[in-house]
Amino acid sequence: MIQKLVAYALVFLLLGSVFNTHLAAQENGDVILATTTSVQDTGLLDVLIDAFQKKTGLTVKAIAVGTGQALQMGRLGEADILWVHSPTDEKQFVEEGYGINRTTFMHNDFVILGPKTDPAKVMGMENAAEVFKKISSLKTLFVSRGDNSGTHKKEKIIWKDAGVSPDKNAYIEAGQGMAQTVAVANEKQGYVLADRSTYLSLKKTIDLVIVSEGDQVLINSYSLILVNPDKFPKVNADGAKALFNYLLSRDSKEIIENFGKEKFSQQLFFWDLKDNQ
Amino acid sequence: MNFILEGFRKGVILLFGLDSGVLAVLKLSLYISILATFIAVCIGVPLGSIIAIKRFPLKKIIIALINTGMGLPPVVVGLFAVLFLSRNGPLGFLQWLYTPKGMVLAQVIIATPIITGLSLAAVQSVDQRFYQQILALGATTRQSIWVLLKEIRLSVLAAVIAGFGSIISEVGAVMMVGGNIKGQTRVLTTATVLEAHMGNFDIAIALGLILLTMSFIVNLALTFIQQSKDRQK
Amino acid sequence: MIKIENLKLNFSGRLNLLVDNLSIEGGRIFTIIGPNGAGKTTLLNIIALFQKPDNGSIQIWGKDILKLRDKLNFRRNISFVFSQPYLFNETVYNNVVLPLRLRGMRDTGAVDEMLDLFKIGHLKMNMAATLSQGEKHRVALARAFVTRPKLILLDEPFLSLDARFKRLLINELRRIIKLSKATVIFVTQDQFEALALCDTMAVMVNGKILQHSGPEDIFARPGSKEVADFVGIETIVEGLICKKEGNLCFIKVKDKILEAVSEYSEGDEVFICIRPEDVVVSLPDRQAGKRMDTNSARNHFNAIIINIEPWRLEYKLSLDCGFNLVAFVTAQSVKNLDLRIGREIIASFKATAVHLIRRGSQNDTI
Repeated sequence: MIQKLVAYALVFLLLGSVFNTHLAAQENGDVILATTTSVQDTGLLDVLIDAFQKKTGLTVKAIAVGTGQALQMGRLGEADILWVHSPTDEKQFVEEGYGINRTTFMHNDFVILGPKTDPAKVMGMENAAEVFKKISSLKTLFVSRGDNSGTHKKEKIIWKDAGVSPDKNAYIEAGQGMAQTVAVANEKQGYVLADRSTYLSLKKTIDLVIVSEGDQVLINSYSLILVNPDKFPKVNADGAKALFNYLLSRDSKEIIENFGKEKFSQQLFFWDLKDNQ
Repeated sequence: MNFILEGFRKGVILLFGLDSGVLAVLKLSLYISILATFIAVCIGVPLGSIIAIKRFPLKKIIIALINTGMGLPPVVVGLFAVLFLSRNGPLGFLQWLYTPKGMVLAQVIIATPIITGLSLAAVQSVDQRFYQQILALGATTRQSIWVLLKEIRLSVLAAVIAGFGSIISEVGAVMMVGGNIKGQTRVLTTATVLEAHMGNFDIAIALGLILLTMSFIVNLALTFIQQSKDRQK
Repeated sequence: MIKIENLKLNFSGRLNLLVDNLSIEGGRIFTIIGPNGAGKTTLLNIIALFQKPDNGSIQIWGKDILKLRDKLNFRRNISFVFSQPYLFNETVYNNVVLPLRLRGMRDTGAVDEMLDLFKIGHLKMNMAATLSQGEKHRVALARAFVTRPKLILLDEPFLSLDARFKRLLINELRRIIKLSKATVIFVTQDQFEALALCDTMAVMVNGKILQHSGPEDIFARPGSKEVADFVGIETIVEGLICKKEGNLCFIKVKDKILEAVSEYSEGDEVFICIRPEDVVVSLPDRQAGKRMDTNSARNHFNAIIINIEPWRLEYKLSLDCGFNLVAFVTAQSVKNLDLRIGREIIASFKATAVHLIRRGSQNDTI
């Protein structure tokens, strides 16, 4: 009987400590940041959020989802601040009154990857739309994110520019994150649109190579948007503003510009703000 | 093939090197799933026993509902939990979204029907006369359930093991309700998904192996308890 | 004193339990016999509050138990022994002490007393699962008696025991019951068990109590065809073993002496059972003397034929030889021996055809 009591006591102590360390009621200073998987997947998100939390003591709940979901969270007032990369949708979001202070502050770029054998013979072409046109007309395999992410939306823009639809039998929608989509393309030896950072981190493990880069349309711009506190009183406007300001600060600029230089021996992200902002 | 071997190697390094990130994730996984299992057992075992013993209208329908609940897809539970816990949802005032509390809640919802259903079946499989015998010895309803459960403790522990297994390995609910936030709500399963997402397949495999190992250890402990009761025979 | 009135239970038309008026004396063993499905167990279940009747009342200790609010208190004053021992996967001690623990009572020696009484003290720390069937039944009984219940319900508790263990256990149980002064309702299909353990007896068929009297009455004078069909029409009379020579017992029945082979002892009170087909009827011999000189049967009695009636393929003779005796004879014999009512004949049967059931002993300390 005593053994039972001791056992129960231990269990309760264990669980009690859980409540204290992990489950302690969070202060209301939490900031909910809705961002995209591409920001998280490079590792940049973690670095910036860690720095911010250390500096201010605030807690950020960074939820990495697809661009579509991030904007939707904004529309419901379920997030306090958005960090996304889909300019057309962002503009509409602000126009509809859901967001304020939209600020484009950094960019990286996409590259078009393809098999070494280059069946569509597009290697070295600079015009992204032309590349897509040729891939489609030669009916060579193209793998898409297929998930309405920023990358996917960019891809759709290029198809539109090209004026063609991809060949139905040579088009796969992976429905997954960037790394997995590239893995699928690698497996099936197809073409894929990917952001440079993902490519660099996967380079050693895949057979695909860059077949096209540098086109203006391949620039991937990231913006911050504050969710409109007038429309959603439950939003943590102060916390969001603090994070907003930090991400646009010089400290942030330094972190962003230096990110990845060591690992990939090139700069991944580029700062877009003028110094007076 | 290289991936898998790399995964093993990385896994060993991460575990024995006591990488702090991995340890944090491991601890949180254990805390959340063990706590959720404990709560689910406190609800499910007595509930299953009472439903099995008592007669009441619509009993068969309720049992069918419980059996359906045993197969609830975790991701669906996560989805509904998010809807309820979100700011606009009816439970938004709790502010449990993107916190471990919310994750425990979601996992309790997943594990409770399983533990209830299995306890229910275990108690129902006992001869009705045996239960009457316990009553005939002068037990209150509460006492008789306690005595009965002690008799079928093998089956009850099996229910606990099944309940724990169902939630330690799920990713849908904890991903949606927790948000996979580093240092706050990241657990082994969501971390594995993230690493795979990022293309770090070797780390993903390592985490997966750590998850399996940890799950095995917990189940080993539970199984020892279960089988030790048997040795007395 | 238990009084059952107007008790009815319907099982979707299948089994009707109908007990109009039944009184059971306190402190005595009331035995119900009947075929499978007669409703005996149902009656016990209702008394133990496991099943609810459609209507009726059962007065026990001054209250109608069917309208009790505090069922627990009632249950804690009775014991129910099932046909299976239903022991727990624990030691014998833990099994027997459980009723005390459930009531929040401490064991101040009651358990040891019970274990000794049922002769299983040496098994105290053994695991229940390792016991033989007979030992398990003893544990179940010890557990039922440990709280000194005022009412004990026995539902075919000897069902899974073989004959020898049964006999031993029943005899011990009878003594223990008498010591405890409890009221006992004992239910069984086995007539010999019933005879060995009863003060009064009732026959239950198809949910109804057909006859309720002393055991001799029921067997000797079955009140109806259904009762007769169930109990059979053997001869069953009370007797007392007045002398024993080796294996041979001399039994006093009314004022006659019967001889039987048995291991029972002088002073034992017994029921004597004789199957009708074991009785031989012969015409009185002018030279009759001690038949035993010329005949291996040891029992011969002058008898008068009270009744002759056809019985299945033969004829049933009811005889009076100082006690009631039933014999079967073929139609042929009835004709050849010219058997009629009122005729004097000799009834004979072997000592080995006499089946004895111990009812108690003059040596029992009560």
